[in-house]
Amino acid sequence: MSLFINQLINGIHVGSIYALIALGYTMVYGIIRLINFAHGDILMVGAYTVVVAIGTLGLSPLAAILISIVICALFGILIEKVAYKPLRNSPKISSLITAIGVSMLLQNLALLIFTPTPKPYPVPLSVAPLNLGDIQISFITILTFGVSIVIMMALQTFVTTSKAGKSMRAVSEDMKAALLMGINTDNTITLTFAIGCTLAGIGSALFCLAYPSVSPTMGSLPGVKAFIAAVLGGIGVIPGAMLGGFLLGIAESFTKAYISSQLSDAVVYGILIIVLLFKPSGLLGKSVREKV
Amino acid sequence: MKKLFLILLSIAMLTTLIVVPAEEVIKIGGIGVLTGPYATYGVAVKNGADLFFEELNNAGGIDGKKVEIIWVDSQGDPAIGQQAYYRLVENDEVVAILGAVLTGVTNAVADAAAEDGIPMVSPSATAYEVTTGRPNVFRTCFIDPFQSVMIARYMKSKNYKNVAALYDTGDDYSTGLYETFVNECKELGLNIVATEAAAFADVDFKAQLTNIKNANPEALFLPYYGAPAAHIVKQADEIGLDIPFIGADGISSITDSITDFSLLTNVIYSDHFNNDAAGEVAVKFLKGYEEKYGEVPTVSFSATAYDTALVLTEAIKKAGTEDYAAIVDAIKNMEVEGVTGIITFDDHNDPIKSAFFTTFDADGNKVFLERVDP
Repeated sequence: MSLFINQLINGIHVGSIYALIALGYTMVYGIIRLINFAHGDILMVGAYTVVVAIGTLGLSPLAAILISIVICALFGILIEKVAYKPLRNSPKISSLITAIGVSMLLQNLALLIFTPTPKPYPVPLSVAPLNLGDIQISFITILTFGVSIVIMMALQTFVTTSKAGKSMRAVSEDMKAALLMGINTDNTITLTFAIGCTLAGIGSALFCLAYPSVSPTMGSLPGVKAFIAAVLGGIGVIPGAMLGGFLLGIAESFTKAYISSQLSDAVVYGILIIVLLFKPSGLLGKSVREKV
Repeated sequence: MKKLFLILLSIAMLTTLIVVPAEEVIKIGGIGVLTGPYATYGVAVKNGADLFFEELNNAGGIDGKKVEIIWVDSQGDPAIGQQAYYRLVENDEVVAILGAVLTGVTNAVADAAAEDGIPMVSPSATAYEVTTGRPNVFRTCFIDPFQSVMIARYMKSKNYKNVAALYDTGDDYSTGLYETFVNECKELGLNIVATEAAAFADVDFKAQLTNIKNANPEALFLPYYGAPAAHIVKQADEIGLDIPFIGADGISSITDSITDFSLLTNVIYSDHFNNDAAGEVAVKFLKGYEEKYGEVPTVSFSATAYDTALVLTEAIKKAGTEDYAAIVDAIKNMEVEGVTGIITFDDHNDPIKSAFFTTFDADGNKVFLERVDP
């Protein structure tokens, strides 16, 4: 039994990280129907910012992490302005390909600047784990889980109640109509990117505290997993990203523990295929017919 | 006018033809993983070999000819490694290959090299089959079966009864070590109470480690490279698994991937070389390395790469020609003192040498435990 609970905790930890990153995917997709493939690489930008801030500038770990989150948000805004905004009225496929291009650009820039050798994440976190008999919960698991839940709730409240959140929803429903109603759609979209990338920045810190190795391609795999989590839960739906993330993490952990470590990815993708077969809009997604 | 131009052009072409052979350079091809997560090993190898050739050329080269090593990055990918090989042999016309670094790539390159019969020496490919049936392929590091046997014996000598293993199914190096380890444990009567595997490039091992902890082993066999091993050691600490983690040579670069060095005191591994157990050539090597790169070598493949360069140079010298077969023959019958000890090759083209069991202190410095002779 304790094995089962420990494995569940392992799954929740990985799941919380997927969920945090998935929130950013979902936000951006919800507003402009763009899968921002560069999202995972923002994770990497955040991680390298911390490495530079501590290693070169000698800042304290907390300051470095806060700065990295701000840098991530600024990157989000910059990428949106430079790469996506000029293409807003082009076909969807152009933006999608640009997103892949931005991802490649970021990875190769990092390769050039930081070399491909992985660097250790310079924030030590040694807090004794919580022991409940045979069950052991590490501090980072509690922290990650707590942060992702709080952020999900804050985000949901923000989107449903605040004025900026309402304009986001309006833009998401119909961009032209929102513009006619006097909503500044450009600013709203920029804000969405800033929030999405802030979440990636926070996710980056939590990811690196758990897996403290920083390399130019570190964002790809969590990026893909988080994307699956977002699709699984219903892309565009905030609680969906959360649910998808947790389901994915727990499924992975249990497959590794009880079936086979090699099969964990196969099971994850299998779940995705099955869910999409029966509910193409994801678990919590509403099926809205595409307007013609 | 056109004719004049053609004549001039032909003269220009002729002169280039004459100039090229006038440069007295012996070219050696270097293949290694210089980028990506395993770059630490490739760069260590490149540094070691470059140091040797620099010293050699400063001392006059081989019979007055300078030796040039042309490096190509394999990116750790067997296909790219093989392309690098063809480029070096066909375009650069190298006389020998130094490399590759990772077992998977070396296997692919050795496949091609065996067809051509070109002398090839790897400083670091430890999987058994790399030199099997390839009379022109050698190595200067010890082999995986040997390491696994030594590790199992080491565990036995510490009176462990129940041990566990965690390995990477997507990696030749890891699975190779694991398979021999299992056999040797059977022979020695060690129980393997838990066997867990992970897929290549995984960063989360907590599910496997939790299963291992549940089985209560006294030690964990960990045939991993440094970067993933750093994740494993950290996550083991998080779930409260506090037993010795015993790995092979690949784990030695773990210090580059970890910030909390106190976690490393549980890590023990078999190494090709230890800076504290060094002979005369080794002292010279360590001094030269520190002067050229400003640090002591952290990965022992710098030492085996230096020896590889030495083996190739001695063989080319002795052969006195750039003929493949003559150089291969010279390597086969060589006995030379290198950094990692006296090097001779057995029937399987493997060097006959000792293993140095090593651990770390809480500051990440290597601590020499004991030397185990074959």
